[in-house]
Amino acid sequence: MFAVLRRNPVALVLAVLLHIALAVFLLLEVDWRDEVKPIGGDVQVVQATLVDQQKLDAEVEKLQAAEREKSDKAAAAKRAEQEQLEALQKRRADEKRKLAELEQQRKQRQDEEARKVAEEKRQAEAEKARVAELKRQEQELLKKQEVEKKRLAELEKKREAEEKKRKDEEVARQKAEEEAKQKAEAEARQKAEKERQERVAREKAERERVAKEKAEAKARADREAREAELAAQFAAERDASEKAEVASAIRAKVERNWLRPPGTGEQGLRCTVRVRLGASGSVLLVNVVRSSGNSSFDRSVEAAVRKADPLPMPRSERLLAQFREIEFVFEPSN
Amino acid sequence: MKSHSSAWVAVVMSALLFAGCSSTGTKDDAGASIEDRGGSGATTSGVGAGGIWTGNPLDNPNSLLYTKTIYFDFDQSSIRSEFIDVLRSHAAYLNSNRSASVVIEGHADERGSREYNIGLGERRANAVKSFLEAEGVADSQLNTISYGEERPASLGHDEVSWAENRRAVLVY
Amino acid sequence: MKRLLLLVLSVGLCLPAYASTLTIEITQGLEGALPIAVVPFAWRGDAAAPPAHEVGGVVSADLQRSGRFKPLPTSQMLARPTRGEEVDFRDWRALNVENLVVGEVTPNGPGGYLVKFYLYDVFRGEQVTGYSLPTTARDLRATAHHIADIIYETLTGQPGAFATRIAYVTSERSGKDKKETVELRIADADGYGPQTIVSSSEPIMSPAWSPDGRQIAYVSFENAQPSIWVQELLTGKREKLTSFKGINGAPAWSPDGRFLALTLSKDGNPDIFVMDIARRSLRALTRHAAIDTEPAWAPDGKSLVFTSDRGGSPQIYKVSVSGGEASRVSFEGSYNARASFAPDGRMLTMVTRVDGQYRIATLDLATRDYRVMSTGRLDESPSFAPNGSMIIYATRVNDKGVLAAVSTDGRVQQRLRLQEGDVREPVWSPYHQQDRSR
Repeated sequence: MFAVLRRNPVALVLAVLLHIALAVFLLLEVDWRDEVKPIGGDVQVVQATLVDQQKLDAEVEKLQAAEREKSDKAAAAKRAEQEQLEALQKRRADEKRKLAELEQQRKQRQDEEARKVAEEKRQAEAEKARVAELKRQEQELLKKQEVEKKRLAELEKKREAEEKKRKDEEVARQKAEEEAKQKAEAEARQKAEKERQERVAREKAERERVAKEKAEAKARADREAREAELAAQFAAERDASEKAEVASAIRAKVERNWLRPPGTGEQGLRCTVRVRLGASGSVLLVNVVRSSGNSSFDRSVEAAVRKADPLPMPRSERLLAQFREIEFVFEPSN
Repeated sequence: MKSHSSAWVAVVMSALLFAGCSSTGTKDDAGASIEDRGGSGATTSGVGAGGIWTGNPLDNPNSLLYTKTIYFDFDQSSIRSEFIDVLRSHAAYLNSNRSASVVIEGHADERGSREYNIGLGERRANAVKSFLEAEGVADSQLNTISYGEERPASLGHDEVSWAENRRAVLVY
Repeated sequence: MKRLLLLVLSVGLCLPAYASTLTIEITQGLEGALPIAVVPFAWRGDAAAPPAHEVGGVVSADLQRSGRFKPLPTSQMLARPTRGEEVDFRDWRALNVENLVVGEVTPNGPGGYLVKFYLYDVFRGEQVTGYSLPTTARDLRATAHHIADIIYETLTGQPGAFATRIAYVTSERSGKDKKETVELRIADADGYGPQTIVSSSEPIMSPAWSPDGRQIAYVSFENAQPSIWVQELLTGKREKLTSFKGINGAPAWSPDGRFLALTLSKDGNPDIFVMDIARRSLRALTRHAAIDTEPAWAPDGKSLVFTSDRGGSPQIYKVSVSGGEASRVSFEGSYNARASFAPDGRMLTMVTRVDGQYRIATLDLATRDYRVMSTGRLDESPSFAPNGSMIIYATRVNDKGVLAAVSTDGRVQQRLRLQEGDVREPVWSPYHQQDRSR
């Protein structure tokens, strides 16, 4: 390609120029079309329509027809009005007649009304008379009641008076008795009081003496009790620790001597034996209290206890008693 | 004339490339097949000067028929490819001697339980039997028996001995 | 007030004395075999001691082999009492021996003996049991085994299996060509006194005891053909039960003795069949293209386990005696074969392969607990003792086939007395009448 270009340099230049020109035109958006320019300013335009002779005749005809129509219509209207008037007059006459009828009816009703009113008046007066009579009777009854009441009240008064009298006499009598009793008591009391005072004085003296002795004794006893308490506490603690120690030693010795059958460590077996011991820990008796269900396991349990003979025992007499009978629960743990 | 050498170069190169692929790799078949020199009277050495085997073809040491034991892989009863020709020649022999019959013994190595090994031995004997039948041998000419591990060929207790015991034996 | 205080205090001090009995919990101890001493029995006759081995020695060896007892070596005994009066328990407590056996053998008529023994609890210091057993020279050893059974059962609560027998196969090669002689033999459970019941130059396999202990079934390759035979032990009379085309193998007696399960490949591949022995009728139990073999009956006679490689490699499967679907039982490892049941039906023993080594394993059927029991490379043919306490099996030691036993809890391993040549395929006899006088 380059060789060709080199052989035709002119063509090349022309081509390049052409392209440049094209580019320029495109970029500047030169428009190549011819322009149409407008003529002068704004002008008024008349919108005329053509005239037609036939059309004109037709128009005249139309107008005349219209005129004829109008007069016909007016005549008809007048006739109608006349009819309307006659109808109206007829209606008025009817109405007058109706009115006269209504007037008559109204009069009849009025007469009826007047008669009813008179009747009612008469009944009301009768009623009034009856009511007056009832009232009078009521008054008489009330009067009677009052009289009765008065009489009863007087009776009551009389009774009360008599009651009061009796009561007063009773009270007076009691009072007299009471006074007599009190007098007697007062005397007796005085006497007793005298004796009591003497006794109290005596006792007081005695009590004071005793109290003194007691106080001394109590002080002594308190001291002793405190000492005893302390001693007991020490003993208990010593016992507890010795007990634990001995139990632990027993356990260790029995465990050391326990040879159980192979495989029985993982079967959940459990055997309880009760052992009676001599004072020095010698095994006197071994009883299977709860078998494991496996005879050779039970056997090994008993052997363990016997092989551990003599079992360690506590030193204190007190505890020894607790260790004479021991229950062993053999249950291998993993 | 303009030169289009470069294009042609490209075309030619591609052609060469494809040409290179056209040939499938030829593997060397240096395989297990032994030259078939049996029974046709070809001259061999070791028998006698210029001698032809005249005895029972089954006893010809230069014949495939001489091989009457084939071996198996551990726990397998499939015929190994190296024994196919041996079995084919036995099939050919039996086909051309319809009155001949053979007992195929199946064996296993000593590992594992005995009765299961009897089963394994039978599988091997049956594999040989099936092969021979497929080659046309009549069922009446073939008998099988499994000895499991009871009749070892080698009395050792190692891989070599075991390999020698995993076998089927053709007993004429 | 003072008195009241003292009273309160003294009552307080006395309170512990009236509490419940002191209880001590024992949770630790040792597990192990029971230390026992079996003192050599005395011979009370004038003539030379009976040729049978010393009774005490047989008892001691039996107890030791069970794994449950640890007999004291005679060299460590501080005293050798042979009568009750001679026993001083202190001699034995000092050695931490928990049980003591003493005894004597006395002549009892022509060719007869009376064996007496006493079992003592050393720490209780009293006799546990004692027996007086009349016997003969021939049965002296059997009596010793019986004594071991009694001691075992008294102290462990379980029946002993010392007066039982085992059957096994031996192989001897002689001559330049190493010609093989194969024999089926029967001996005491401790390997003593072997008797040959079949001798052949062809293989013999898979001996199986009948439940009454009177017969043995086995596979024989005589006449170059495997067939199943049943032989009566007392008379040596035998008869051929099957001789089908193909495999005839793995005979197994049903617990009631009426049926024999066996492996036949007459229908194309090895399958399990059940034969009604009286009627000689056959019924196929499995029908599968895989190798199905080595059947074994469950003690309740309702199902069997067998070996099958239907899943690709040999595993143990279980099938109902009426046939039907077989379900897999072994899931450990890629090789499990030759399973058989423990007498209580709760456990299986089998050959298993672990890291390329063939060993004996047990599988607890309830807990699925699987345990490898032996440590050899080529262990096979496991068989439970009739009391379930031990498993006998074949292994190799110094390039020879020997028999070994392991206690079912895996604690004790023992080798049985060696024989010439290779010994293999042991199978433990059941209990049978003539061995137990109960």
